[in-house]
Amino acid sequence: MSRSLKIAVADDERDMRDYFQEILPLLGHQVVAVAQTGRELVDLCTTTHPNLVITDIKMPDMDGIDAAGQICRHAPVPVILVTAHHDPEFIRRAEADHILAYLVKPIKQADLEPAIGIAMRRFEQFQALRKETSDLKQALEDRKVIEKAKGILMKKAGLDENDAFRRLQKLASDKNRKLIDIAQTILTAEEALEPPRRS
Amino acid sequence: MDASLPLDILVIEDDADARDNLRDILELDDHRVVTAESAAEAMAHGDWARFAAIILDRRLPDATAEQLLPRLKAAAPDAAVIVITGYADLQGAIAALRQGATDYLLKPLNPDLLRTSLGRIAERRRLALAKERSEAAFRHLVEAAECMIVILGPDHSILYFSPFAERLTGYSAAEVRGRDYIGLLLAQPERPVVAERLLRVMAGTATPSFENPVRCRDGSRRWLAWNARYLADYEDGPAILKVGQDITFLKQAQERALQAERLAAIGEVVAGLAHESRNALQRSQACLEMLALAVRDQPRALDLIGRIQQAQDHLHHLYEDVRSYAAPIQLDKTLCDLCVVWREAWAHLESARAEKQAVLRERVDGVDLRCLADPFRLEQIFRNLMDNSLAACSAPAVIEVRAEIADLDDQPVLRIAVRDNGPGIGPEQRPRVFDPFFTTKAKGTGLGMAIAKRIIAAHGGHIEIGECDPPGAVFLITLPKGPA
Repeated sequence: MSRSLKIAVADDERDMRDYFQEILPLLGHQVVAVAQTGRELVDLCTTTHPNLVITDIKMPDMDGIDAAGQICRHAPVPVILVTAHHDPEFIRRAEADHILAYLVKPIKQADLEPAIGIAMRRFEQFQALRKETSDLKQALEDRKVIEKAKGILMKKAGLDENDAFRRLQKLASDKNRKLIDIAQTILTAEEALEPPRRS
Repeated sequence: MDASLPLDILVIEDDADARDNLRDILELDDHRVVTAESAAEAMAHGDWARFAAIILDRRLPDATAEQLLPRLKAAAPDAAVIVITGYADLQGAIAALRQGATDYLLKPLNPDLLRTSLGRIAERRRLALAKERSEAAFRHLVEAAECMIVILGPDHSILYFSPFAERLTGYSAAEVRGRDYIGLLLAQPERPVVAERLLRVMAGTATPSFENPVRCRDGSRRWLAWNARYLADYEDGPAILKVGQDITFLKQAQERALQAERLAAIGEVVAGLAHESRNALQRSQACLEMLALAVRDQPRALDLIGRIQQAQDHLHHLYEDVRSYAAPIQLDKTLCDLCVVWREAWAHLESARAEKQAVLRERVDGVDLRCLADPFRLEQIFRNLMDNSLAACSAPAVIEVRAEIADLDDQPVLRIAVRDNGPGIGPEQRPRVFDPFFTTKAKGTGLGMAIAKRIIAAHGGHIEIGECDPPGAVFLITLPKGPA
C-alpha cells in the first residue's frame, strides 16, 4: 500500500489542514486540494481529480457527507470521514458505499496510515467487483445474441447446432471480428429480410 | 330514686335485724349484697375490688367507724362508704367524712335517703367508669397511632411522649419527661424556627402544619410533618399538643429524585463537554505531531513531547470514559454468545496478557451462553474486568470465567463469575469499587467499574463482588437471558 495517492482534504480547523498537509506527504502522498468547507471541497475535486478524499463532517455551508456524495456522483472516489461526532444520525448517513472509513477525533498519524491503506484496498476491491459484475452481465447478453444467430443459421442453412456454431466461429475468424459482432450482423440481416407482418 | 345500675355492696352491721332490713331494701333495688357482723369479719374479706359501696354501722362490737374507715379506704379505695349511726353526732359525722366517708345516714334508716345516696354513688361510679373508658380509648389511640405525639408545657418541657415517639427517636418516655424538647430533639439550625412556632401555638394563633426533622438518640435525623395545637388544660395547666407524621422516606425519595435530576443535568453537561473536547484534543494532537517533526533532531524536546502525548492520551481516555459514564446508555441488543464476547475481550488485551504470561480458563460445561444483549458493551465490561485483573496479578496470571444458568424471579439468567489469582479486593476497597473515579491503578480513570455497573443495570442485570478464598478477586455478573 505504498502507492502515492493524490489526496483532497477538508476541515474547517486550520490546525487540521496544516496537519494533513504536513503528515500526508510524510506517508508518501500528495495533497492536491485543501478545502475549508464542503462546497470548496466539491469545487476543488472537479479540477484536481484526487484518488482519495479525507474530510471533516461539520463544516460551514455544506457538510462532509453531502460533499462526498456530490463528488462521487461525477466519479467514484474513496472517502474517509474524520469527525468529533459519532451520533447515530451521522453514522447512518455515512453508510453510503463510497464512505470507506469513519474516524473519531482525536486521530494520530498511527490511525491515519492504516485507515488510508485499508480504504484504498477496499475501494479497489469494490471497483474490481463492480467491473466483474458488469462483465458478467455483458457475457450473459452476448450469449443470448449468439444463441439466436445460431438458431437462424440452423433454420436457413439447414445445419445442426454444432455446425452452425462452427460456421459462426469461422466467419468471425475470416473477417477478423468478434463472435458477438458476427452474431449481431446475422440478427440484423434476418430482421431486414423478414417480410412485414400484418397486424 | 332508682339506682341506675346494680352495685356490689358490703354491709357491716352487728345488729341482725338492721342487717336483714338493709339487705331487703338493697336487694329490692337489685343490688348484690354481702354482709359482715363485725369489723374483723369485714376485714377478713378478700375480694375488695368488687365493692362499689360499703355501708358501715358506726358502732361495731370490735371497732368504731373512725377506727375502721382508714383500713377500709386502704383496702377498697374505689368503694364509697356510707356510715350509719344510731344518734345524731355532728363530731362523729365530720370525722367520718373527713376520713373519706361519702355519706352519713341516721337510724332508723330512711330507705329513700339510702337510695338517693346509693344513686349518687352509682352515678358517680358510672361517670368515673365512662371517663376511664374514654381515657383508655384515647390512650390506646394515642399509643397505637403511627405518629409521634408529644405534649409540651409552656416552657417546652416534655409532659408526654408517645410510644411511637419512643420507637422513632430511641428515647424512652421516662428519660425525656420534664426535659427541654427543643434542646433535646432539635438540631441547632431548627431551634429558633420551632421555638417561634411553639410561641404562636401558645398564643392561640392558628398555625399551618410544618415540616422539621428531629434528632434521634443515635444522631440520625427523621423528618416529620407536624400539626400543633394549644391545650388549655393538661395536667392543671396550658400545654401544646404536637402530632408528627414520619415523612423521612418521602423526604429521602424527594431528595433522591432531586439528586438524580441534578446528576442527570450534570451528566448531560459533562457528556457534552467530553464530546466537544474531541475537537480541541484533535487540534492539540495535530500540533503536537507537527511539533515533533519540527524538532525531530532534538532528543530532549522529543522526550518532552512524548510526555505531553502521554498526558494528552490520558486526558482523552478520561474524557471518553466520562462521556460513556455520563451519557445515556443506548443498548444495541442482539442474540450473542457470551463466550465469543469474552474471548474477543481477551484478544484485545494481547500486550497486557503477554507481560503477565496470562492464561484464560473457561469453566462453562456446555451451558447455553446465548443471551439478548449488546455484545459491544459487554465486551467493554469483560475487557475492563480482565484488564483490572491483569494489572493486579503478578505473572503468571490466571483468569477464570465460569458460567451457569439460574432462575431469578422465574426468568432464566446467566451467572458469570470472572476470577483472578491476584491479591484480591480489601475490605476497605470493597464498598468503593463501583464508585466513579475509584481506582487502584496508576493510570486508571476509575470509571471502568462504574461504567460496567451502569451497562449491566441497563441490561436488567447486576454486577457485584463475590466472596472467594484467597488469593484472588471474583466479580459476579447476572444477566437476563432474554426471550428464548
